[in-house]
Amino acid sequence: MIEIKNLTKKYGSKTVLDDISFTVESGEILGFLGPNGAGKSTTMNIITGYISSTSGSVCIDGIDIMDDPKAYKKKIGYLPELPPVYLDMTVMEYLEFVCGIKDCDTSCIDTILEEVRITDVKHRLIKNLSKGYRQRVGIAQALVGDPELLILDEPTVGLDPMQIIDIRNVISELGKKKTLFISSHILSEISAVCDRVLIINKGKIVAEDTPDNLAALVSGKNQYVARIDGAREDIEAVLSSLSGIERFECKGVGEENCLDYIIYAKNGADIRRELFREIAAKDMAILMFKSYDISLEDIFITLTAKEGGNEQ
Amino acid sequence: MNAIIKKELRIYFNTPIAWVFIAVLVCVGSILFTIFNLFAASSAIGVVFSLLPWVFVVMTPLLTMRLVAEERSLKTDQLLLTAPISVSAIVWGKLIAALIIFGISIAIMLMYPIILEFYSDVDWGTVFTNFLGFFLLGASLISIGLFISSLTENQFTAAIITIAVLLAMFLVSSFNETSGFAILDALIGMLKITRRFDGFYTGFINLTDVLYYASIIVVFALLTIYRIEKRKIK
Repeated sequence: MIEIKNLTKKYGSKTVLDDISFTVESGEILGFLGPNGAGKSTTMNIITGYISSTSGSVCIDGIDIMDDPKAYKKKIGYLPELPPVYLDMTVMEYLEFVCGIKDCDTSCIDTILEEVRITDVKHRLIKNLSKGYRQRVGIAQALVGDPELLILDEPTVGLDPMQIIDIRNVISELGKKKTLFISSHILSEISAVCDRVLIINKGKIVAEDTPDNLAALVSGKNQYVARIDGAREDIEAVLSSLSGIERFECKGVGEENCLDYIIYAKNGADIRRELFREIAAKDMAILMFKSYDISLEDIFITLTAKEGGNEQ
Repeated sequence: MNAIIKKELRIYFNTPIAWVFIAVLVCVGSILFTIFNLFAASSAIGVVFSLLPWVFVVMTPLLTMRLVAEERSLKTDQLLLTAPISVSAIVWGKLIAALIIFGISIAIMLMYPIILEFYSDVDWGTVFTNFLGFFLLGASLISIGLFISSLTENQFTAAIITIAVLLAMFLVSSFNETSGFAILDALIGMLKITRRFDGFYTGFINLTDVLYYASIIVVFALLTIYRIEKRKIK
């Protein structure tokens, strides 16, 4: 559906995107993951035609933006990082305007209002709406004209947990019918809805895989965080004695008289029950025990270490 | 383009901007009309229109400052520029919407000659040239204001620059082209935006004056389009 070839964007001497190429297949949900400032929004702004690239090409269904901008733009619904809404208009007035500039009939508005569940606020001024509702108005705007491709830039950023769940539901509904390209800097966000993930860092694509494979890349290590109440030598004696533990690191005092450890278990070994019994047997206590969350940073460190070799 | 015009008018009227603009222009116009026509028992409507342009120095930015600057600061330009609509349609739509608000205030001011008609014989030809000249002058200033709004993201900066530029142009209009340097004289001649109004004031339509105003309107609209297109590339 989208075909991006050798895209480069420079601001002066600063290279924001460095020769990136990828494709988005028709019907898939592609996640675009990267830390802030990695070039996610820039890429999306170029694909949607908001800014132009320094070099490289973007085609949608074989149409280059340079050749036929109108036909090209009709294929895309775009929700930028900030929903592009006019605060001094009502939801209805705003969507009528969007229909106007996208050159389509206003009869589609009612269906869209239902789809993103904002029918009840359609006559309110957008400035009086909460952030979650504004975001939904932003999605509604992207849906006008029934584009085959939706590009959503950090659709859940800045929302409260309830709103995030709401928006995520709306997105997975949309994903059944359309091709989606979603950016985020949170892995769990992306892995919940996406078929495939691209990871971008410092303007370069560093990985491209399914969310499961990416997570496995890091979680294969079986890491746990534990807070144990006891003396250091006693705890470490127990940890060293367990056969399932590959190694451990003391992260210091987390709470009075307690120590925090990161424990790396051997592949496939489930150390949890054994650890619990051994610690209890020595009259010590585990106050906290959880698997170590895979963060985006971990993936980056793993990936850059693999790709960069001796660079760092 | 219709969608853009409609949207701009909606925002003008959903906020106090349109109301304040029309109210101030008509209010000042009516005060001038009362003093120079009613009290002075004169039917020469031109006096009102020769003084009223000074109100533009403050009122033009009210109408134009947010046109492009606000789209940029609120990021709503991301909607406009990614929609299947051309930049020129956006800019012309915005300019026409501002001109419609200005046109409404002028239409209200048509009551002055109608009131005068009750007391004396009004020279409707001169009335027409005055209204036409006033509209062309105002439209030129609005086009300049629109362009200045595209230079910055901050609408108050746009407003202040617009006031400064218009004030400078109005002051230059009172200079004579007698510096002795041909280039400087030509430049002053070009900048004398309110002097071009003098012909209309006395009842003449001078083709060069009409073309002068028309080209200012078009040139600054084109500069605005160019400016927005250019920023995409940056």
